[in-house]
Amino acid sequence: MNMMKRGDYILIIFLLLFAGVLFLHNMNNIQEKGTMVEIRFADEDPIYVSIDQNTTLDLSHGDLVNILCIEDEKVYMLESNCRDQLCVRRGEISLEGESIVCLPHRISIVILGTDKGDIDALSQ
Amino acid sequence: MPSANNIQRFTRLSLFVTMALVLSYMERFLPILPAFPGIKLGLANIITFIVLIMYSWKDAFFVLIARVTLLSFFSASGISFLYSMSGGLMSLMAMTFALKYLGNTFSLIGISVIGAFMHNTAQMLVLAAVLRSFFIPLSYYPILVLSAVLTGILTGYIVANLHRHLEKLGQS
Repeated sequence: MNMMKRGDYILIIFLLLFAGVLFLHNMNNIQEKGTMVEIRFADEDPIYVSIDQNTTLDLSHGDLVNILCIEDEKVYMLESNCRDQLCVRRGEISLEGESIVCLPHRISIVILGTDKGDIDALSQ
Repeated sequence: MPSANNIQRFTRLSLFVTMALVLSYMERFLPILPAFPGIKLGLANIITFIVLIMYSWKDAFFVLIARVTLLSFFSASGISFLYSMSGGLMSLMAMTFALKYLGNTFSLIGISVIGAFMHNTAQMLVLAAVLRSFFIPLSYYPILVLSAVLTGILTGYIVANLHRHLEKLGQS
């Protein structure tokens, strides 16, 4: 690719470094098993559920069906009638900082660690 | 009264819109990675970029708006429309600026990477606004930046070659 200029290489290296630093920064949060599950729907107040209970939550709002399962300290979307099914295909999550998002239905699920205040401050 | 020039321009723009639509639509049949939702090649950006280079930002703007609006008819979802539109506009603005003022520093590939980066950055901000949370978008952002670099190089490489060949055609 002899058509590339020096500025291109600098830009690409800079962006890769930027992504790498952000990634490492985020990795510091994702290590331990989470303790709480934060469930948000649109701009409503989030619901908090402990991860160590086995339960099935119905997050449906009107025609928007979402069934979330918490099982053996793992969380997964059992069912959704959204268009892309990305939330169902996301599979199981169990570590602090991991998330499931159902964008068409504006639902997001994040696993929190013991230090809940920290993450809340970040998400404000 | 429409002049011959106008008719030519509209025909040309319609052809570009069609090509962009087909590329966007075809892209849906490529396998997606469930772990990384939202990562796309952004092939339609090839058309936006080539129009920007060869004609004007106004023409590119028209092609972009028409493509995103028409594509939303195929799959009606308010959020995906908001998503494509914000990303597309941000990317076009960045590329117009870079092409005008940073053309000596970056080749078309670099400018395409800038466009892809701004596109994904805009989408991250929309995601944050939709979910009312910065935590998820931020944890996803590094992957978006990485994918912007890779897809930006790919589309930039295609555009650079396409542009070279179209220039040759114009001369002969």
